[in-house]
Amino acid sequence: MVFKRIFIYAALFILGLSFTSSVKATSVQAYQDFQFQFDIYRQIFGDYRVALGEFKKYGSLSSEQDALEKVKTAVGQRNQVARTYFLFLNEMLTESPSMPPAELDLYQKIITNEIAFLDQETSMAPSLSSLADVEKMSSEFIKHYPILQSSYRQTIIAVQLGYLRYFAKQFDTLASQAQAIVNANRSSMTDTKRATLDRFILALSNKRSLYQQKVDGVRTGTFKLTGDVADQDRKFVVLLQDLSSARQYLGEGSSFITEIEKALTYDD
Amino acid sequence: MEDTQTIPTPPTKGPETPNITLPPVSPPTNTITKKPLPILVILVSIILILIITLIAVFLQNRKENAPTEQVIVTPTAAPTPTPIRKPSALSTTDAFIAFSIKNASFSAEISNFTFQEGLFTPPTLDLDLGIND
Repeated sequence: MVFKRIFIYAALFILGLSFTSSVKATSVQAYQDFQFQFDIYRQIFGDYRVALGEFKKYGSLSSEQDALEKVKTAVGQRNQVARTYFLFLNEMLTESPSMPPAELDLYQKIITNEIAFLDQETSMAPSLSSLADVEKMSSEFIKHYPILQSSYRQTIIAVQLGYLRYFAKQFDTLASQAQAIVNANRSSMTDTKRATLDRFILALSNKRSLYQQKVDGVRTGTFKLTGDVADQDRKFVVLLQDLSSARQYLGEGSSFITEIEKALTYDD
Repeated sequence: MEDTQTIPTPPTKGPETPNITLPPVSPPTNTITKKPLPILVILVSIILILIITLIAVFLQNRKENAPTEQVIVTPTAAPTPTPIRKPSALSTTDAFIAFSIKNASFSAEISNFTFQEGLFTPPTLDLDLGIND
């Protein structure tokens, strides 16, 4: 009887384990795929540089042909790396717990357009017949590169805002519950306790407004992530810092809710 | 300095006697030896006071610079009792318990949350193919 029970528990445990592994976030797999493609890209690009060096040194037809074949593969793989990072961001958007449908739609459209551009570039690569043709095609990619980087950065910010929105929703629910409990029990409290709880409520409401200010600033700043890539990088770092501060404000606000809870737990 | 005193003899008619030379008589010394004594006493006492002061200062310094002894706190058999706080009637209500659970869960979630690795670093790709260099 006991063995039967142990067997049932063990079976359930193993079943549970297999379930948890199957629900592993797809964004993790997407990121692993990106890393794998990036490693291949580094290797292929290294091989191309060697072949190009050989061609420049000897100038033979065979070395030119070798360099051409390798550059075509390298350019294709470059597009593949950019593509897999977009797929990873798409998974992150989908997993984001509180993404408004309109925003999700907007960023998914951006990703679709970027992937379409990259696929078009990749499909053209095999038909290139000279190094000059490759250079010409690559110039299109260089021209488009700031838009591609801007799309990455805007989507990253959108994903983070989605998570923050989810936390803020929970925070608001808890804060209003805390305030309702305080208001309902106000008459049975001492003056000192009432004053303390009022201070906590004011403090958490201040933290909530500070959070909102930061998030609004980030939302406005997201659309300024355009132009030169180095400039985009500078703005992006500032926005990431602001997002981190916004999250910190929510965390501090949450500690005030905990203080209210503690104060309400005891009579004295 | 040789203080010899020659006593003149009265003229006698008898045979002439030789002059008697008396040994020098030392002057009374009690007035001379009493003078340097207070100076010596003062000097010795000053030196003594100095030595005592130096020793006192030395001992004081040593006392001040001495390492403080580590106080080893051993657990006592009867620890100080923490004041017992009376839980409020509110804390046992279902609504409050549900609120506490939600709050604990939210606090843990927000403090432990981390983004997926690599989210903040979009890839930097090679733009220059180096064909025209």
